[in-house]
Amino acid sequence: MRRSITEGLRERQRRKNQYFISQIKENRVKSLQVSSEKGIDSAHKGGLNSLELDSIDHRYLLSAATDASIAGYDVQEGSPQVVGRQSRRALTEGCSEHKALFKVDRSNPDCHKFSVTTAVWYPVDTGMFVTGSFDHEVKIWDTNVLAVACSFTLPVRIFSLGMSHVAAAHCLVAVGGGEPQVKLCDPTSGAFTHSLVGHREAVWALHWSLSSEWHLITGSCDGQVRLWDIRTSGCVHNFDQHDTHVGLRSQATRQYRQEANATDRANVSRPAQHRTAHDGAVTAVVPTPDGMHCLTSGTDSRMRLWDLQHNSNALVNYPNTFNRAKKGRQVSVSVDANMAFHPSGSVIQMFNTFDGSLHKLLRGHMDTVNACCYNPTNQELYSGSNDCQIIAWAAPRRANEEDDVEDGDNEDTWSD
Amino acid sequence: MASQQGCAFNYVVTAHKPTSVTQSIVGNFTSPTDVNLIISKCTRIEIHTLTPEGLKGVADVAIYGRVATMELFRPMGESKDLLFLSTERYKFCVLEYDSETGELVTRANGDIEDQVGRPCDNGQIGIVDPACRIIGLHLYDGLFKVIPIDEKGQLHEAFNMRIDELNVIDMIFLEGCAKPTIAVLYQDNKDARHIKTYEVVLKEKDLTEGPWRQSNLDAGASRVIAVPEPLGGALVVGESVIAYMGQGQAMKCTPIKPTIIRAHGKVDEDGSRYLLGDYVGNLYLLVLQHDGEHVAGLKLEPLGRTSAPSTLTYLDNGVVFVGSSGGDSQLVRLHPTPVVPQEPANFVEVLETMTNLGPIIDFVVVDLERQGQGQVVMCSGVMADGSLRIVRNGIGMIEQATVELPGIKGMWALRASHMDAFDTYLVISFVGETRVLAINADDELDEAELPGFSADAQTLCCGNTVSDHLVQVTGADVRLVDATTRQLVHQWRPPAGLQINVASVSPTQAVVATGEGKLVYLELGEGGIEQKGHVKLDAEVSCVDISPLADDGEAATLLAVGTWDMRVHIFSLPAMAPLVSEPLGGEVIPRSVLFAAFEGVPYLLCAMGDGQLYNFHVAEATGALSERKKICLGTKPIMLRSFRSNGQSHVFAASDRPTVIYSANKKLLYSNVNENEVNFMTSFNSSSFPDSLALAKEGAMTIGSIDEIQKLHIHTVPLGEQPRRLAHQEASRSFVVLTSPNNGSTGMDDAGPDCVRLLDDQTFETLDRFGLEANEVCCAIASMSFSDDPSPYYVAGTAIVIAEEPEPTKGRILVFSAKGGKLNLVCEKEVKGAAYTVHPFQGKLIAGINSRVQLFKWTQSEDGSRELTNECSHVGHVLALYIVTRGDFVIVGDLMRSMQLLIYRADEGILEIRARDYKTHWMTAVEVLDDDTYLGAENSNNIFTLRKNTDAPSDEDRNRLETVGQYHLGEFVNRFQHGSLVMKLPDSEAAKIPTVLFVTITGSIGVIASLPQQQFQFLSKLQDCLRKVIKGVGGLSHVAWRTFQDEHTKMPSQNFVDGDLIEQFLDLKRESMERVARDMGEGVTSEELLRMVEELSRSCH
Repeated sequence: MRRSITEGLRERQRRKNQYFISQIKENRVKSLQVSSEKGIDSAHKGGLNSLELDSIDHRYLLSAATDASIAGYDVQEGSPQVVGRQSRRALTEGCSEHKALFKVDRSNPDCHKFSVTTAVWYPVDTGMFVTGSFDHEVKIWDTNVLAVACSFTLPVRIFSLGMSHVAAAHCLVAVGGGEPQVKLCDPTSGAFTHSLVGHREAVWALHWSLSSEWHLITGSCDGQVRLWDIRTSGCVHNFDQHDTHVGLRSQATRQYRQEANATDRANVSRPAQHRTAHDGAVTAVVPTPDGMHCLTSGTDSRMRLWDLQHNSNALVNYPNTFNRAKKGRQVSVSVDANMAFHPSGSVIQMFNTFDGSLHKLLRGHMDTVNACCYNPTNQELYSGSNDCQIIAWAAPRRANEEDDVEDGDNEDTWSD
Repeated sequence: MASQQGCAFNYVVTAHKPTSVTQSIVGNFTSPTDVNLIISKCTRIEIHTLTPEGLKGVADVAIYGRVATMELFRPMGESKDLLFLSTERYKFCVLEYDSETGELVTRANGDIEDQVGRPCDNGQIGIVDPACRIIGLHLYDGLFKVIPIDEKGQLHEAFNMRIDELNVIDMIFLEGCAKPTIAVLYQDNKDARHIKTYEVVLKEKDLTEGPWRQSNLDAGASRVIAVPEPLGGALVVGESVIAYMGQGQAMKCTPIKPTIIRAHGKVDEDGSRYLLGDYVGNLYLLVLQHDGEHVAGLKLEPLGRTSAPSTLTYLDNGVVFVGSSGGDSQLVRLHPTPVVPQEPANFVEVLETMTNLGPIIDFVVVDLERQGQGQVVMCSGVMADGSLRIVRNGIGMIEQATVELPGIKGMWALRASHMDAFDTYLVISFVGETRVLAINADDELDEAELPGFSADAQTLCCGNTVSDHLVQVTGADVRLVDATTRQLVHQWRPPAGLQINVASVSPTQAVVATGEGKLVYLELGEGGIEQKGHVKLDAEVSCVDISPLADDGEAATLLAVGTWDMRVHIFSLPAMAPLVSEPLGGEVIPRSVLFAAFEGVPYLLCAMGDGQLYNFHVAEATGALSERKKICLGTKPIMLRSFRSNGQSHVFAASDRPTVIYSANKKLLYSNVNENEVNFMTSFNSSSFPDSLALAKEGAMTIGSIDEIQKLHIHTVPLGEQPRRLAHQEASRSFVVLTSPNNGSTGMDDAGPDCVRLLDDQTFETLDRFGLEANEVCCAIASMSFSDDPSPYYVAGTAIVIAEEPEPTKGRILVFSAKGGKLNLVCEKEVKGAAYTVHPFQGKLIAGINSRVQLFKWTQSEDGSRELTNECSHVGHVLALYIVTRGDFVIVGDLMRSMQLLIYRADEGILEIRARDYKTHWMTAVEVLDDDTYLGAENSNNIFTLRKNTDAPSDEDRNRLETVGQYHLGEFVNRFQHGSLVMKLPDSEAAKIPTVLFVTITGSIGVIASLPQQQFQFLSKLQDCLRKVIKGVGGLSHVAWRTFQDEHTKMPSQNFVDGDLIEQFLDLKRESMERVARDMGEGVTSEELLRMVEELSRSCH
């Protein structure tokens, strides 16, 4: 039952109403637009490749760019303002500008030599972050001194990497690069522990499972998406776009599947090239926050939703998800309103995750969008693109701005 | 002093436990034959047994969690039911009742939390298979968790199964199925509702399609009820139709008048009848017409009206428990014929009503009776059950009879003979007259005659003697009257010319004072009155007492005398040798003196003419007085009298603030009685008035019984509609309540707009009403005055709600004056949004309007009329919902952005942000503790404190409000207010501790007291020691319970101490107390701990 916020607030005083909060979050996500309150001042001179928000406080945004620079921003508290008209606005109207807290660029001796494709925070605290670059290096940085603590060299360019957020027994970094093997690096020992063999081409995207510290999902240029258990050799599952789970529970299909599985085991192996998740390169692998589904995006211009319990295609059609990426591209998912954010060209498409309907297009960037990252605490989205800008998207402030007359003109932040 | 150190260290304690009933179930829990009703009140569960006299309480325990689901089940091999309970934080336990110890034993417990999965918006569902094979839980969207139970009744490890339905409305186990089968009522993404069944296949850990399904049910289908064997199947209850469906059954429906059913209860074991209660309180009986195999049809019969139920449980013999979360819960009996002929539609007889304060939506702390004691007036209840509740700390008197009798100077109860259990006579003394009332043959109190008594003299004292005489002391003589013949048998006169001024009697003795300090000691016996001794004191005698110290003692060994030279003397009896003479100090004479033994410890109480009371420990052998303590009970002279209640001895101190003195854990406690001024009192225990008291007030005598000692007194003013906000104005002695009519949340009826009601603050009658516009809802009200204007005003904030708008774009601020019992609209101002909150600020008005905080000036235009003009504002909130102010600072509680601190710069006329808390907190209430510390409550039932860092070195630190304390309260707080339930007399310990009261949705009232750091650290250590000794019910952990947790963060409790746990120290057995004292170390004794905990408890509530 949709009702206005005022009624929801009155109802909340009488009876605990979680639905009301979900409704507000849903409305905020659905009304995302370029934020009028928050501006993130990108410190990069090259296109943005990746953005990640820390998972502990949801406060620090880590960005990596093609000019080999890495920067971190505080998205909660804005940078102190220069005294003047703009600072007055900041004090009375809650507008804030967020400059980089720290930056690693070519002046730093440890800096990468070529484009940095991914930068992720150490999941436990923001004292450490890991970056991977086209210069074949994976570097582990100490945030406070901005120096490399440890690095790994691979024979190929690095496209993606990740650390598990639920890891208790290990802190392995999974690295996907220009080679088919996925390497696992251990920062504590400084060595590679093992590789995951199975893909046939470069691995552009990967993500650890949100429920198990031993499971990793990788996506490769050969169109395959594989689920691995890092404790065993060989992958657990190879997602097949034709394997659907519709009618899973009906008696007829159960029997059919049981028979099909029996005969399946009789065949030694189905030819690997028949089992692909996408008909092109996989550019993004993202599990939904509830851990039950996974979204993958590929250069076949398709985005697919996978059911992680049955490891099958949920058959949701997302229209017009054009994708001509030449490396990994981040897709973001939000639980509020079940929205998936898919960058396509210079626009970000907002789809409903479960029925595939297009809700809205977020226009603001001038060039191809590569990175996006959703902040669940305040329903904001941060996106980075080849135009070197990071845009913060937020729900608009409600219309009661008209009686601003006595404050003077509504200044914008263009510098003249 | 707390104020010097700030309010960073806080003690949280419950003053009134939650009363809102959320769930109830019936079963055989305490024994195989007892019918037990188990009620859940969110953080507490109560277990009752149904007896012919009604519900008898068996246990009332606190749970370290909020109860989400509760079911009784009986695995194979068990003789009685076990209780399965799950909490909102995903812990569960299985409890069994041990009839020998009367305790709840934990049979199993564990964690059912999942790492991933989205918590269901509709709340948890917990169901048990009728054959007790599995427990099914729906906690996260898309997941069904199964806990298998084996044949021995042991629970096995839980595992999840996926269900396709993401939006589950309700789920139940079907009965009579070979395999455990669930029916799932769900809503699809096109908002249509369907029901599907699944069989649970344990071996494969999966679900398979069940025996039947039904699509496109009533759009408001809200619950499923399983129908037992032999019919099987299920009932789906919707808003306009109820349907029955099952395997091999044709679907049968019955249309119903559009309504929302909120509770159901099964009546018959075979499922022929069910009770349904709707959101307004209409009770219906749903009858399944069947022939044992097939259901032919459904019939719905209205039965009458109850409180709006949240749960209905049929107990036995037509007795039904109606549990309500928005009104008073009731125990009712259903009759086959109308209860009262005038109401042919009502078959419901209310047997018992259990007061429920919740949900408490708003409150104010006032001192209505100008007695220096705060009272809490609150808006309570939902819709038609809405009311104002006035809560006061004190003991209630339940009045049973009142007689108009002005000028009472004394009262005593006499028994017909010494050995009688009950009192028969009530002797009432006036100036120059004595009257006697007695219980007559009809069990009524009537005028009676005691011929032996002197009827035209004022009685000074009277009593029963061992020798079966009644003794009366008047100014002229001491009379002994035979109890049977009621004739005068003996008499004693003082020497000629002397009058008796004060006297006291015991069952064998009497002492009279005859003026000029002379005291005569008489012994009363078979032979008559014998003068045994006399003494002369230096000053006039003002009061005497020879109450025996032993329980039911017959002779006193000590005599206490209060004299006009402000001294109290102790003499030994019968020798009348002076033992002790204690100066009392002060300038007022002692007016009443009394020996009393509390818990076997002898005390001497001495009450002065100015309302002060001294108490001493007295040594029986030597009369030595020690441990002198003084307490102020009132302002007028106190008369002390002992009485017994519940088998314990108490002392009633009658004065302008009547108090009951009693003892618990060897400490004397004082509790106010909710009566105005009581001059005299006596206990009166007769067969028709058992365990009662007779009180002499100004102009009347009342007989009544006394409440349990130390409870809050609650007075209810029913409003009949939903109260929303409340404000009090001292100057006009009025309240304003904002109310909504009963169209409720469904918009089903259109009963009119919200209105502003003016009430008198003594009688609470509605003096005037102001109706708002058609689409306008009331949001806020405050009483304030503006600079340059002496009159006080009421300011209300409203919002215009239009269906298409997600957020209001228009609202009004209305300024009323309440002169002469009428609401006059002085000015109104249109604002561009909902005015969620209004607050006075430095002679101006500050309001939260949507996302803007706006300051208004009160200006006067040329024609003399007043209006509000904008001065300045601040934007930068999502919604500015709560505002409190301190000095130049404005603290704004936001919808989701925690708190922001604004500063008002008067010279520049701007409001600018000073600091904010950057965390995401969905706020529900805000208050200022001191200049730098702010208290907030948020949506996930947590409270926290923030501190302003004025001295921090860097700008960044100064701009951040630092979190200094966090705590999981477990309750949803609607409002904070400074104030206290306890009378804070200026010199007392209590006055030094600043307290904030809070009210919650479940009807509980709590106190947050800011303590000095040292005391806090001591209590913190005590809390740790108590955690080791006191185990939570079901093995739930206290540490985990008080951990601050919301959607994104989890932090242990900091700088808050749980007063409810600390106060449990008072109920511990002696050995446990000693153990805790030992654990505390540093030579702390258990007596010290007792004293400290008790003092703290008394100063809070």
